[in-house]
Amino acid sequence: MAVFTDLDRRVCEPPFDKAGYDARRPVCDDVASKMPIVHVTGYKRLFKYIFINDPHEIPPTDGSHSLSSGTRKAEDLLGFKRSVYFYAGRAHRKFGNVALAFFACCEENHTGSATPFDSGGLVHPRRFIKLKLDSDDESRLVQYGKESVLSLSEWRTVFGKILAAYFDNVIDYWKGKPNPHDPEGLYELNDEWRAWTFEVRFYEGQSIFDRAAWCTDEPLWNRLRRDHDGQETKPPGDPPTALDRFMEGPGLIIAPGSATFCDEVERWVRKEVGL
Amino acid sequence: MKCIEMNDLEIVGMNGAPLVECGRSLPVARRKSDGFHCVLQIPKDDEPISFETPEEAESYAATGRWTKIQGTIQIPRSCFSGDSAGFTHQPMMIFADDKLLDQADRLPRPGSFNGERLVWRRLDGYDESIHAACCSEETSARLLDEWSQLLMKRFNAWYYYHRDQDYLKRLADFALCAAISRGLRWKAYLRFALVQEPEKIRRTFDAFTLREFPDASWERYKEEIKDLNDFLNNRTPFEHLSVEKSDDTSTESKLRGIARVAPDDAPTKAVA
Repeated sequence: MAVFTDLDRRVCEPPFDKAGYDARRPVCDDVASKMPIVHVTGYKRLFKYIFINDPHEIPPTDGSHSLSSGTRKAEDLLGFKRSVYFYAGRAHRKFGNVALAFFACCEENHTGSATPFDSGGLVHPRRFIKLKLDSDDESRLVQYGKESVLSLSEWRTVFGKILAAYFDNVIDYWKGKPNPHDPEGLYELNDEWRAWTFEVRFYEGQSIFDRAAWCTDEPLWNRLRRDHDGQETKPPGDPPTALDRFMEGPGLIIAPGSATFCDEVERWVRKEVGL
Repeated sequence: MKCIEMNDLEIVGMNGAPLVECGRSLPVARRKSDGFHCVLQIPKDDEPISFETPEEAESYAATGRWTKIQGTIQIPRSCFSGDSAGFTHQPMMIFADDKLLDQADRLPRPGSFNGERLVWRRLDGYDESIHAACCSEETSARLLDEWSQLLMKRFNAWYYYHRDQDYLKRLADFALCAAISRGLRWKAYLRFALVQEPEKIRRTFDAFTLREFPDASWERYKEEIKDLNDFLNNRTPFEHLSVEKSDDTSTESKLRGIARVAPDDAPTKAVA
């Protein structure tokens, strides 16, 4: 069963600490309700979103690059539509050198779903996410994955409960790991945060202009400055270019960028949720 | 560092891509024992490093998220102590195009800097003039700052000699790509503005300079550009040497220090 299944009842019994859970709930619910979601990508893709693709959105998995093939396979196995992927409050540097963070309100106009772990890692042939299941068959993993799906409208409520139930301190979502109290060992067998971060999926593209914050590394910041300078000057009244619009939005968290831009985004997220 | 045998790691690339002529980025390392890859960042709070399969590493490289080097580089000794101890300094990849290094008078590429050995490797899929090396984060910042200072010295001299604007803009752009420290970045932005098309200066200021220097004002920025123009036009590069000992701490005094030595190829004004 999923880590959140029957949680209201399970937290009343050992090894959970019901009193601690009740005490943590208000803070965890507040953090969960405010938690920004983060998408990481590379310059080539950002360039496409900014300069080429009207309406300048991060597109759902489209098969236009080789990374998508594994993701699409996972989507097909788990029954997800083609999606735009975010992590709740976490940024993984392996996906590129630009991290874009979005406030919770950006979910209002989307359909989508969420899972309390990285879905691609669950069904990856290398089994990046380990579980204690009665069978190691892919079908059993898929069943677990499907049991763990939440709607966009409910995931933040469940996220708050998970934070309160499994984490002694909410900061451990970034700096530690959850307590190993789930029957399938998701929190026992895995040390990487992809096993306990919430993955949020939008079935429609997400506008890059609606970001709440962003961060990148130094070379990309310098490249954007050069691209910006290379644009023709427009007379007053003409519509701004997409790059102009992008630069007019929320500024870089750390200008002129940082090789550790993912850490910077996560630091910004923690500040946003009051930690 | 948890679960990592230092001798089992070798550097095979860098995170991101060489989008400009120089810069730095986190290294991509490969575990020799199983071929798995990671973006090598010293983990905080004993957090394990996330390793990816060779196939995934290939796909990250193919989509421009990572850039492979040709061959491998050992993790710099300066970044860890002993065989079993963890990292003491964050390793960082530094990349540079020979076109930029030539303008900074730093060709051939330095074999060492700040007491650290630099092993340069070509980048897969990029021009053969672009190379990358690995060193500690501190050394990468110092080396890039040195290049920026050298490029601005050249800029100062050629500005006095009224070299064409495209060339000067290229030098200022290179200096901005290289500069890491705040002070140097401010100086580089001023020089970039000096040679920009006038109608673009405000745009760059609002979109970029102000993001880096939120306390800056447009009026003050314009004044500093004007002061710099006057200063660079009214003193030969050799005159910069004569005013260097001044105790004056004004902006002008600080600017003087940038152009202490004329580049070897700077002609006299009479023949420029």
